[in-house]
Amino acid sequence: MIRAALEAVSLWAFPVLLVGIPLVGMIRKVKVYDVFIEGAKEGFNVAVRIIPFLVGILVAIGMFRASGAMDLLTAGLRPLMQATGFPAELFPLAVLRPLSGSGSLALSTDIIKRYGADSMIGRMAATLYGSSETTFYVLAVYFGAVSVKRTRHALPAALIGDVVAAIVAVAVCAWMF
Amino acid sequence: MWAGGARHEFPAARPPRFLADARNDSGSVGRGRVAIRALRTLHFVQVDGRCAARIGDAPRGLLLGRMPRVARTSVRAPFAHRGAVLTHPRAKLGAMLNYIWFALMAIALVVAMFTGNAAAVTKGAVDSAKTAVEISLGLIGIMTLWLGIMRVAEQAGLIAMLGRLLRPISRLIFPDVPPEHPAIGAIIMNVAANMLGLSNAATPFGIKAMEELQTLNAGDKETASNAMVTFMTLNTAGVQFIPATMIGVLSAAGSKNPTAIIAPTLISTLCGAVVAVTMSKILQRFFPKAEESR
Repeated sequence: MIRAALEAVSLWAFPVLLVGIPLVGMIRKVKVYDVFIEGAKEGFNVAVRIIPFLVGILVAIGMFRASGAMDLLTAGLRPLMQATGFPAELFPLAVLRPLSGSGSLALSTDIIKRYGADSMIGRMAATLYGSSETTFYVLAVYFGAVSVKRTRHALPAALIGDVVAAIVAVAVCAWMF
Repeated sequence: MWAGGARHEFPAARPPRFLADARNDSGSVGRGRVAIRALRTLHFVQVDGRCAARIGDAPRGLLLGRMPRVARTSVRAPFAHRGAVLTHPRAKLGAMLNYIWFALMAIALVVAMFTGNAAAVTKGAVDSAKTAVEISLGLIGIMTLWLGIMRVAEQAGLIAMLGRLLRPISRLIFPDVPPEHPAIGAIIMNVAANMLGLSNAATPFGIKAMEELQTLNAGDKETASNAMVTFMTLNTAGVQFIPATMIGVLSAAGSKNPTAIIAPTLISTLCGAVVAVTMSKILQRFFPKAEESR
């Protein structure tokens, strides 16, 4: 029942927003097509701009994997992870996610490519990436903007949130798919 | 949008300063003395002394290198200055990636010496480079579509609409901030813009919110207030309705149903946000500040 509702959300959210947002625009007398084109022009640049980041990191990960080092790492992690039930393949991604946006984007891309876009691990990786932010970067930026040096409990609270988001991402995917 | 904002003192820096039109995605921010201010390793754009945006804004990873268009100035300044605007400054933590990147490749080579996988390592490198470009090109379609739709959302005033819906929640989360204080408005707009995936629009609101919270920050201004930490945990949780980047990556990788991750992503990001905000409330008494803002 709940699962069916969630599947409906996944199924309908995208097309509904695709029509709903321009609908609100029409009501508000926005020239929706002109504005769309204006914004869409940037899409190409955004996609092309990430190429160097993606090539750099994916090549490093690709070498790491091909040499057999990735297998050693996941094999080493497996006993530790087995106790928690968290997939060992996703552990490096969960660690990298709060540290680096481009790095974790590349790592999740690599996992998706490797295990398949419709595989359980691939979907878990995508969900894990989407479930959080680059925590360290966000903290540095906003606290930096007002020259706050002692951030007190900001980092522990944010990281606990990230850990929970990662665990929930894996659990919900395991349950839904 | 930033009219009447709190003045913000930046540490001593002698950056380029010139008269220019500053604009962002929503239009003109104003004509004034635009200054690029370096703070630690980040660069900010100021218009008449007020902080308008940060350059090298990359909250969502994917957008590395994309700049808030406050910096797109009709510059009457030497080209060198324009170069200064367009240089992507690296965040301090980005430096760590240098070590990780090198270590991955170095370890690969060392392991290959033991396993004799040299040919595989070469193939891994070459194939990965190809994959990276294919994925990026595969992203063009959905990024173009989504950024276009998001521009419509912005122009239609959806951020403000969402903001009105979020107002009751903000009272619950920020009891220390008076409900009519400008900080609340900026916080709501920041969260609403983030939810829509408009990270470019979210950043200036977020910085404004931090500046407003700083005016309420009693005692030592270099120590975060409870409200600031709570606001930060809301941001690091990254609540977003549509994970457009990952949908793009999945479809570029040949998924038959790339939007299947929308619901799980929403659930996990909401859980993360609730836990992070709750933790900020629980932990605040264990990380006391001499004088807390009331």
